[in-house]
Amino acid sequence: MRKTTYQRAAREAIREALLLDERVFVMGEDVSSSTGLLGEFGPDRIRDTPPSASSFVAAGIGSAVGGMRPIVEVSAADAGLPTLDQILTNAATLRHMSGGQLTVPLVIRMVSGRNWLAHDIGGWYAHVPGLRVVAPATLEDARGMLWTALEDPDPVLLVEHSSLHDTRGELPEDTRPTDIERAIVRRAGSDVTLVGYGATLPVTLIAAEELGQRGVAADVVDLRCLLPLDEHTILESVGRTRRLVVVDEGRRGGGLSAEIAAGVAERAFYTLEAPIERVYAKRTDTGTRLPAPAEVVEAALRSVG
Amino acid sequence: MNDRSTRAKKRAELLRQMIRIRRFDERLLELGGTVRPGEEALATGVLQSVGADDPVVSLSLEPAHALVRGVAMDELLGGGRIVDAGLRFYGGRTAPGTGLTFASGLALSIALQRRPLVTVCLFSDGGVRDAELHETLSLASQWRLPMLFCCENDLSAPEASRSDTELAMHAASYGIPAWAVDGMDVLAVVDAAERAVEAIRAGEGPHFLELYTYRFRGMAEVARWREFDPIPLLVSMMCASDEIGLEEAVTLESEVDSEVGALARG
Repeated sequence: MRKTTYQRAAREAIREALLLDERVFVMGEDVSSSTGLLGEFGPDRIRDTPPSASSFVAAGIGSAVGGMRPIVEVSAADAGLPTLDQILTNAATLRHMSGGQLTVPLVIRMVSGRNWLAHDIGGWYAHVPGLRVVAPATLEDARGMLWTALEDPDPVLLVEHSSLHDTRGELPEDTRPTDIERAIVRRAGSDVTLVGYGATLPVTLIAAEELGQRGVAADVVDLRCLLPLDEHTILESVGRTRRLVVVDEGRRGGGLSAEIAAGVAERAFYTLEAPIERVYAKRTDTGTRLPAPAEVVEAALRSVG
Repeated sequence: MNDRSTRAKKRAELLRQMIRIRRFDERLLELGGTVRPGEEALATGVLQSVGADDPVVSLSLEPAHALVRGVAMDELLGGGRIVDAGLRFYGGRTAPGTGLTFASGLALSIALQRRPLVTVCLFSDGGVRDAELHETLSLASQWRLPMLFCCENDLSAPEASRSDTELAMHAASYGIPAWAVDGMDVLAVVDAAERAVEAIRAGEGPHFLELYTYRFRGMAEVARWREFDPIPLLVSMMCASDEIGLEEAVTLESEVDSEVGALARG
């Protein structure tokens, strides 16, 4: 094992992809600094762009159709909202629109949480059919999801919450690609299911630890893939615990936690022993604030009664 | 084959393609579609000047472009979006800007693969007001992307989005070589497109053609249309240099008529 950070693990994944596949290149604002890989791979493959996100995301889409494997970085997801048009109109629809003739093997790394709007970004893009939206929440996934995403013939949006970037931890010397389809149980318990993802996973794990000290065993599900949702893993956990708390990066209303709660209510209503609880980002004077572990603990205690 | 007959053969093919577009448009009109007589020289001249491997992104007048590119007529009747990966034809983007930036990506993939290909992007003057045209021109210029921008200026964009300046100036301001061309004269279009394509293949970066056309609407303009009609224009030039006779012209027309006729029965 070796010590590293989330951000270093993500950079290492990019470097490995560049070494393994000559079709891979990185494009975005100031990627030469963010990756630190300009010297090793040169300006063709580490391609700095002007601050016109919509156009360089589109250039990524076109070059993916043209046979490349671009990694496009949108370093501030809320400033990158003009890219929604390209992602919706081109990336997510070209396969369907061309009757399967064209595919868009594009990976977009989007960093959220840097500004007032940004907590919601993963949830927003999770409304776009034709897209896969994944949220690496651990060092292992920051290191392993990129390669799996690059092998996908369709567009994948990797949403990284900036609060995770400095996360420290350990990785094995021999890392492997990780799954981008299934949710995963990060901590097993039988009293209550806590569903988190991205920036809310560490919050949820802290809450689970505290609940454990109070004698409540929480089953913590890390969604990993926000679109399409792995409802099977959520339902399997709720089937065991009969209680559900969803911890959302975004605000209440039309977001991911609403979708998950509705899905469980539709498919497992009679399994539930208590109302579904939601914990979500709150509006503040300067923007939004992520859920706190104490709020998750409160919600879980309400649920177990 | 001597130069003269090679030239005559090439011109006869230009004529044939223009007549195909015209007849197909007329058929679409019978079926309740809209026709844009006057587009034939632009579509034919540009697309006959590029190779089969050069990607073509069409953001206006898609059926005409697809027809010259080789998409079968009956596939164009549905009125849907047209994509033919085998023919490297990419039509059917929604807004012009959305497709222009996509085209820059195709050009980028070609540049990264070091292939001697040109990405052709055809759009109309309405697209000039899209912010993304400017972002695309800027990227294309900065990265010297192998792109041929073909902007049709038919002054038909709605009043509010009409460009009242010379469109070539937009491209020139980004350091991109840009020329205005008579889009009703197919030989002028071929001449300009061939020069631009040659320069792009030689690594000289993006080029921009502003092609003036006339879009004829309503009966009052029919007389004026005849004055500028690109088809008689080419026929008269070919007759003057003895490259086509009446008999050949009639044969050519009847071949196209039977292609369109088969379509009507189908």
